[in-house]
Amino acid sequence: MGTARPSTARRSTEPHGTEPHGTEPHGAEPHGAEPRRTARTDGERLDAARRTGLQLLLLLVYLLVFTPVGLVARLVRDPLDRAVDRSAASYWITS
Amino acid sequence: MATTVLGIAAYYHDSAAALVGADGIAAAAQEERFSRRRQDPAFPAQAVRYCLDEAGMTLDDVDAIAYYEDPARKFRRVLATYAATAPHTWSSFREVMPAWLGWKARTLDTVRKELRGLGLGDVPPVRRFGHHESHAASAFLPSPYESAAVLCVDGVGEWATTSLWHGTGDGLRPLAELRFPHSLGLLYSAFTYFCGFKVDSGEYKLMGLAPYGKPVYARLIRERLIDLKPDGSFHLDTDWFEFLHGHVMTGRRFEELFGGPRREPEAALTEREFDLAASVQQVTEEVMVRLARTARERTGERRLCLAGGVALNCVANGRIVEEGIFDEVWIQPAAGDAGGALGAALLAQRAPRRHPRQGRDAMRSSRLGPGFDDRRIGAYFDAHAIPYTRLSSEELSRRVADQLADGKVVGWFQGRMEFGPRALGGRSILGDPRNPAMQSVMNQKIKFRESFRPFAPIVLAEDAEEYFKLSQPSPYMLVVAQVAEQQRLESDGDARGLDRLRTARSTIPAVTHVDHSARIQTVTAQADPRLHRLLGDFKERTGCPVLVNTSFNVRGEPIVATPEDAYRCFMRTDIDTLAIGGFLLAKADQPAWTEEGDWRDEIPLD
Repeated sequence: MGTARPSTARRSTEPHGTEPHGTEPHGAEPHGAEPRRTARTDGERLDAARRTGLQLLLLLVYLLVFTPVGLVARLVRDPLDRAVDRSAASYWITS
Repeated sequence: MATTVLGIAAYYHDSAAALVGADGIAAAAQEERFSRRRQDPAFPAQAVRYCLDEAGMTLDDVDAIAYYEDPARKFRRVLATYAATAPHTWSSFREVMPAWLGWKARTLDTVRKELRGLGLGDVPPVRRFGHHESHAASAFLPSPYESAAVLCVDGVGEWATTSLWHGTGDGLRPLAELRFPHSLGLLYSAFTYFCGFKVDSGEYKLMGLAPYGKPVYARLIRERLIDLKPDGSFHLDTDWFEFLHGHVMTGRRFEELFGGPRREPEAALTEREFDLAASVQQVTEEVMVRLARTARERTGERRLCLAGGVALNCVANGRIVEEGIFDEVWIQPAAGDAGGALGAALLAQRAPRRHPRQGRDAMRSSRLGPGFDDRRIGAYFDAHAIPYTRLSSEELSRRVADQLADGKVVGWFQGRMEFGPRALGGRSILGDPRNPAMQSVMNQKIKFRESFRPFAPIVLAEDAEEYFKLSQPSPYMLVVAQVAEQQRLESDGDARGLDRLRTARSTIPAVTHVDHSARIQTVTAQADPRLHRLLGDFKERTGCPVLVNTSFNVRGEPIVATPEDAYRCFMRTDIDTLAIGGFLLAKADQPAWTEEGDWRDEIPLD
């Protein structure tokens, strides 16, 4: 995929939203950005193209898979079981 | 059965490694101490090297690698969250997914590859354990109990956020759990964020802030944010939060509920933050006490073991102890994710537990990190022409006690480094608790941190009752209790907010919080002979068996690991004396300290 490797993961944004670590508001680039460079090499252009391609693919997957599947799933049963039931006796899930 | 196991926790925050062998826990350390990046989430390469080195081993001597969570299960939770929140979470999805698709879903392969890259031998099989399973193991297996109820409470691992276990001679049996997004850790973090502190590190600050306020929002929290059942189980009403949707914990709805925007980081603290902190702290304690009662009922056990990030909330732990739900409570000193490395290693090892019969825990006082002998320390000082006095340990202890009694602040670097977030007398800064100015001196001239933050006392275990209302030992500084009545002074009842800091509230004001509480560490001669001797010498000199103990670092920096780190911190701050191994260094004797630029710019605010 050529995306963030573990060695760079320390600098990458940890998952927002889905994971609490990602919710760290200042955590996006906590250790400073890479030095700015003006001239782009061929390799960088290729990387940029791959990133754009990946983003497009992700958008399609999100719109065509996650959104419809998620909407249907929520009609049947919320994948996150978010309901608050004030009349329930307990929320424990027995192992 | 694997006899030697290397445990690893990585890629979230506070990565760590732990090595367990035939003689128990050989070594454990957090990567941040070596990399000098606070709560470093990178693969813990240096911690792994250290652990193997400490045991004189290579990977060829290790039977198994134990990873502290199940990446595939975690990934399924991430996917479920996107399914549950689409189409509102595209911006988060596009940022998060590349890493998951690239390597995170195959984290175990990455761990294997990183280990191979160390060039320390062949990588043994890598096994994974559940996140809460690792926490539960870190809580029970090293505990001093033959059997116990085990409670793990944190933000989230794979799915579980709260889990209840029964630990017996046969191991750990899961009983019940609560799942994401219903999380006490996330509720606390939401308030941490809303009060302008950093999530995953500012929670301590919120806890320290709570006694300045009144819990006026507690009812609102119970009515709107959390539906808490009598058995301690709960659901959050996620509509009020933002953590499922975006890059932040709270948003507009939360602001409406609490009457205004969140506090900007580093902005002035107001009554509202004090009250918010007091409110969420009260609710947290209520949940923890109910969870503890359920743990007692469901297991019938008289002892409780705790782990998970919320178990670092020593005020809530103190409530559980105070309520007398259990005869005794033991808390894993590395209760956060770093401790998962140890828990996973112990799970993979499956060694018989012999230490409970000897009435002790297996943590070696949590002194599981690197130590430095006098030859190594002396060589460093000599190489840099650093002036010192070499003393016997008895003489060093007496001299340090004298200086502390004279109001000096002492850097205390002795023996092996602690595993877990607390400095327990291995890498500590010490001061005189009787001195009313000590809290602000240490906060502002030594640690460069906010004036409201309290300091913790260390006390001779045999004298603890004289000073604190504590019904059990607290060897790891994870239980808060009240200062004993006989040590309290009449206080100024009219002072409000931070003004309350100016009032001396006891004979040991520097470690007495505004509500007369203190986060106590009890010290026995068996656990730490040097620190015990120092406390004894200080008592002999002053009559007081208590010292201020804070971690040896400045705000935002990891605790010092090496003599070099310690000397740097000593020279950058107003610490008067450095006692390191058998060496005593006076600030007045040191050559001028020069650095390019302002070192404080390099350390991110915590």
